[in-house]
Amino acid sequence: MAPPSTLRASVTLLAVIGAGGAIGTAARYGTALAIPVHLSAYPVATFLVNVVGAVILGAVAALPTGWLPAHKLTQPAIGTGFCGGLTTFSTMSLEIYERAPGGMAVLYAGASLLAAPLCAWAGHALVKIAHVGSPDQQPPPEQGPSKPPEKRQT
Amino acid sequence: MTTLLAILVGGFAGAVARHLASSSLQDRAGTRFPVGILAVNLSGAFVLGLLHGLRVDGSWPHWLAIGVQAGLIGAYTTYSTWAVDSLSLARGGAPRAATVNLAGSLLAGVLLVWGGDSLGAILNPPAG
Repeated sequence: MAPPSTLRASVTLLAVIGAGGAIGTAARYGTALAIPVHLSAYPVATFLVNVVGAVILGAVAALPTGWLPAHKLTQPAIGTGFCGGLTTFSTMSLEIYERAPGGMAVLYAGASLLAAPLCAWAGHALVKIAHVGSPDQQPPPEQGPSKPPEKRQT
Repeated sequence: MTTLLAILVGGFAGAVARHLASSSLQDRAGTRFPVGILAVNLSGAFVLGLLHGLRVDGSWPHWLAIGVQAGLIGAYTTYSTWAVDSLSLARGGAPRAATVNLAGSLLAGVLLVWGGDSLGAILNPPAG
């Protein structure tokens, strides 16, 4: 049996991931309602949330652990929770299947395939361009969850 | 309103299930290749195909069909982690593994939707 403190930390982590997932899923569903897509047309809504989520997760993954302000659970909440809930692999696969065989299936599959590493890289590059986490500008990660990061040059 | 609640509950449960399944599988696998997320994505694709074949959109209450498909299964699977893991493989000197993870996952995902859809169509009692 896990000691109570470890158990509590695990439950808190799951709750935070679930909450982020619920918000991300609602955002994905809202996008699908806002951009209705015909069964034979390009699935704009899913493609949009997938590429946006990949950019955000690429950026979150490039941040050093503990950099995000406020709380150490911010990273799993945004990454595993929100981005994971916002984006979807299963709906994308179903949409490709529904359009196959044909040019639209190939176009959608190819674009989703190429966009995945490109968007993750774009998020990563954005963090590097902003110099977030360079050693002279970043607060040490192990200073406790509540300590806010130092103000960086603006 | 009921549909939004179903989306939120499904999204919560799907994200938690993804985290639990992928991390426990990945811990046991002893490899850098993201087998945990791969298993999650492929199993989710199969189930979504199965529900499609069972025609749940027409037979289940709207809120339940949306909550399970867009909510639970949609949040259970992920594109963003798949993308970031593939980039990490490529940047970590394993471009072939990255390509396999990208193209192989997508091909397997579509094939599993097809398999699930076909199975669902067989199991589905004919309408009328």
